[in-house]
Amino acid sequence: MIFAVSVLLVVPLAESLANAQCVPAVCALAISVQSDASGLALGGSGTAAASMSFGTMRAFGGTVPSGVTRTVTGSTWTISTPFDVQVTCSNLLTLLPCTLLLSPTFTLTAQLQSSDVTNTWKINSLALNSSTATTLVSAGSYGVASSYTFALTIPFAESPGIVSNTINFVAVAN
Amino acid sequence: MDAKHIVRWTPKHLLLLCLCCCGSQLTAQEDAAKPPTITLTPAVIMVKAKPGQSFSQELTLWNNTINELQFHLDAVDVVVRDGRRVFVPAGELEGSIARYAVFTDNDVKALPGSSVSTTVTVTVPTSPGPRAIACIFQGKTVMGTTNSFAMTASLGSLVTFTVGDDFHLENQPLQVSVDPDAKMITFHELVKNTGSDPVIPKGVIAVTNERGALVARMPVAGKRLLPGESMEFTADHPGLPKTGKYKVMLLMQHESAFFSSSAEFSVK
Repeated sequence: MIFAVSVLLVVPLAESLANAQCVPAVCALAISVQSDASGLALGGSGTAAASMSFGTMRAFGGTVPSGVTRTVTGSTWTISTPFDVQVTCSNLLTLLPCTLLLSPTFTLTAQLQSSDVTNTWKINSLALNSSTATTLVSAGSYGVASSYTFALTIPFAESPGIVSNTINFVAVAN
Repeated sequence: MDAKHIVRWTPKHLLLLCLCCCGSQLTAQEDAAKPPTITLTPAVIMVKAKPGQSFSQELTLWNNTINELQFHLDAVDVVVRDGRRVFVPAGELEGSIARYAVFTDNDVKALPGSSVSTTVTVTVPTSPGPRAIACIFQGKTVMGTTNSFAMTASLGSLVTFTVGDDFHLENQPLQVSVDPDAKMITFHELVKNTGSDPVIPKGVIAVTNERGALVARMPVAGKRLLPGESMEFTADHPGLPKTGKYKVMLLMQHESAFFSSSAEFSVK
């Protein structure tokens, strides 16, 4: 409580201090990654750190996990599955909707943690890379578990082995 | 936010504030029963500053998961490109503000069911380019095994800067959509921020009949527009008024001015 009061009463003490206005007690953002009803079951679904385990897959034959789609073209094959991301703008007072806080929507970005020059990583047909964050949605709606489709395209020329990476999602209020 | 818009705190306000803060603590305890996720507060900070001035803000992240989570603090500039907000690494843009953001802790660890805080101090450069930064708690904890794809969710606080009180908007003509099937009238107007500072337009719509009598009045919720950003401001009117011609006027205000637009429509 003492912290909140001290922040809310920020006033310029000197010319070098800027004037900030915020209401931390009533303005909070939350995010979780969830399994989609028609997608692969995620490890850690509903939390801030989830994982997709496809097991051992191959371009032709073998087993395709439930909720996963495999597509084969002339030189590549792609595995894809939907998953959900939910962002909520929770008002800690539970009295005011977030629209009154002038943040009715959010921006969601995704970025690969490690560079991958061989395979193509996409979410909703938007290619991901490790150098810049890709904006997935610029005006997302709060409180909705929105579905996104993850797709990994692997060229036939790639040697068999383990493909792994981490996708970092960032949500920022608008 | 201009100084004239800042609330003047009175003892009554402080009492309300204390009640609010108590409420927030109770709510934080109740968070344990909520889905296991992470929460960042505050989500948005609006700063009015001049070049060379500094401000500090404590940021708190709640970890409501059962796992210990590690985060790296990162500041990025937020600009609008091709109509979308994009996050640009600090220092890449001319006049980058994120470059001058300093955290008390660059790496933090949030234990399960607890929170972790850090304070960001930002000094506005001499000629700031962007007018917003995002202070991001970048998740570093990876779940799963080596033969799985990991997904980490991170949160960022948006910090906007009003530097020169340069508030300019361009608005398109007011549009009216009458949907007789859904019995709904939608009013929408595209507004673009052509100034160099963030603005938050908001307003009210008034509908009058042929005799000039007020038929309906609806608020238009405010939305934050960064420089170069466009958004459609809308208001829905449920139900249709009786057959006739109507005039609608949209009166909007932002940090320094009012502007209005009008249109006519008919209900058959």
